[in-house]
Amino acid sequence: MANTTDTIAPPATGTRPSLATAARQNIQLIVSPAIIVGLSIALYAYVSNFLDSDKAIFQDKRSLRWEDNLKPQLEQHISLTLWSTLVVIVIAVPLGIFLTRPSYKHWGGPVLAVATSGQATPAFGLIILSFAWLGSGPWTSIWALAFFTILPVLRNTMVGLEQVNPSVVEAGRGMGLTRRQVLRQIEIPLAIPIILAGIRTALIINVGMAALAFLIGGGGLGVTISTGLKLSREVVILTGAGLTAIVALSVDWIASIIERTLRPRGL
Amino acid sequence: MTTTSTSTAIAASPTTVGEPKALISLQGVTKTYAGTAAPAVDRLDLDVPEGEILVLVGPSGCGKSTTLRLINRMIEPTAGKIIFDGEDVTRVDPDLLRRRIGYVIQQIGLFPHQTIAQNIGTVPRLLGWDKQKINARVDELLDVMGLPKNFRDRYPKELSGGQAQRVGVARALGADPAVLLMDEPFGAIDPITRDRLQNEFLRLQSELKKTIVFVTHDIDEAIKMGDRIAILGEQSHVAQFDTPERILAFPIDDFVADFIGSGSTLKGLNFERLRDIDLYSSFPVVEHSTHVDTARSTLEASIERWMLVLDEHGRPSRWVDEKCLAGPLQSLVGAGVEVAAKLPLHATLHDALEELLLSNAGHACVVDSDGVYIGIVDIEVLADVLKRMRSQARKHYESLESHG
Repeated sequence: MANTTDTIAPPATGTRPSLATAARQNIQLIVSPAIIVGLSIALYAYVSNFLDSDKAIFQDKRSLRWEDNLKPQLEQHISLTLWSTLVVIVIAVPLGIFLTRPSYKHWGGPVLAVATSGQATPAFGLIILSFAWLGSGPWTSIWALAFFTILPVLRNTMVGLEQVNPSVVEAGRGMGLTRRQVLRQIEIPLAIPIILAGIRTALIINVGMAALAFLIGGGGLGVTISTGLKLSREVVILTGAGLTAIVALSVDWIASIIERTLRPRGL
Repeated sequence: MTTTSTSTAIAASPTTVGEPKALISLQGVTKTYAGTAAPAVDRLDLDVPEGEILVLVGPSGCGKSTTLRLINRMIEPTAGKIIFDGEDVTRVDPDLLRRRIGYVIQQIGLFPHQTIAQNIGTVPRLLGWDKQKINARVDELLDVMGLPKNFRDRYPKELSGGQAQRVGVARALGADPAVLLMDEPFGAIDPITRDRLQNEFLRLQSELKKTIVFVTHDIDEAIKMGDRIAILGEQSHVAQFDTPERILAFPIDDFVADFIGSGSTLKGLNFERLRDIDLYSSFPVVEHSTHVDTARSTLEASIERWMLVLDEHGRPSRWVDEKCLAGPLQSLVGAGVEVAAKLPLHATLHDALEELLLSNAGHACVVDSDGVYIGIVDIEVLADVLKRMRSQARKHYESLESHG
């Protein structure tokens, strides 16, 4: 996870996947869970083997205890990811809709600039800054993550709405649909695939970012990783990083399923 | 019949008796876009006759599309009035107005995420029809447009261009509006499909009798589709408003003449049919049983070089000329050349001209539905008809002027 992300929305033609792309997506849908399961089994086998061997020290065993450490951190990690993404959706999607309405289009540039600055800020700095401003607590982390990932969702919402064929809107208006009806029945459904792609990007970024929440007491799997780093215990670092990767892959897989389900037929 | 400003003259004009009433009329409609001094549409008066196709045609940029979109207020007029079926609709809720007016655009604009049935049912749904009624209407429209029933559940991307535009028209007809606005509806379709769609649409219109405003930049399409044509100049000024026949016969000024182009006389031939004109009846004709000598003297007595031989049923069979009769000939049966083409009474003069140009004798024979000889068309017959059409059109305009 880095500051370079592919937040550029796919071009308009990307809304209509070719047969080859569709086939690739189908394979991905089956392959991803296989990789996730394989990775989990491998990690579990490696860690339990290591802990049973005489190479394991007391600190390893303590920091890798499931009930006391790993499970709550995993839950925190997932909940940080989901809450921050939810906050982003609630803010960025309506904002994107608003900024593509003809009378407010001129606000688009300035707002996008602010959102871009959010993502251009180093993640580490952003988290520290929000700690200085909002104090500790889970919501500080959630706001920091949300600010960081507003850009992909906002930009994709705007691009998604702007790439709707103007003649479709024209036909809708010409038949007597109100502006609101055109937005709800035509523009949003047609923009959904691109908006969802933006949300998926935000989710993945947030999984990675949540690993930094430990810095301000936000919890998450970052705690285990940092413990491992402090103690120089490879097995602990590997467990924290491995679990983060498993969460990221799972979230991406679930998001791809949601994306497919919500994509309107006929596109 | 031209514009409302001359409507008093029209009422008094004998040629306009029985003219349909105007279902839509634009009165002094002006559209000026913000930041431009010159209006895009300047004080336009236009009556759209009920139950007819009115074609707005003009060079690009003349404001014909703008004019069309002013009618359903996709563009709001800066000044002037729009009257729809006796009601001033300049200030009513435009969304409600548009549900009463069908709208077809060149890009079609089908909703890609909705099935064909959902697309066609758009306006009925907006009007709150119940499901069953919408379903029945969709089936009816698919049938009317010649689309198979199983298209209901397809999506627009599965259709060809021609099929998509049929659905576009069906969708515009959804709630059976009295008026259709069509903005170059067949413009983006290949020529062969376009021709078929135009013919289908004309057949459909002959049953539906909708009031249609049809925009095109193609004068040939205008002539084909229009019951009446309004030729628009700059800022949507009406240069000429009339039936295609009269516009072709008598372009009112150089602008119109230039716009309809050099082939206007030939195009005008499409509007007259053989049954409505005086054929050449004194052409030399003989029965095939006639003696060769009699035939020879008949031909000599006439000014023609060819004569026509009929078979025992009175149907044209052979063309014979002097040279052929001069030879040692026993009977007229099988003499000369065979009559290749015979024109039915419902053929247009354009068809007739084509036959004339192809025939050896420079004549074409006209037959009734049993194939029995009726008369002859030659180039002079056509020239006479054209002369008559032109003088009738001129008289029409002179009478309009003297009344105005």
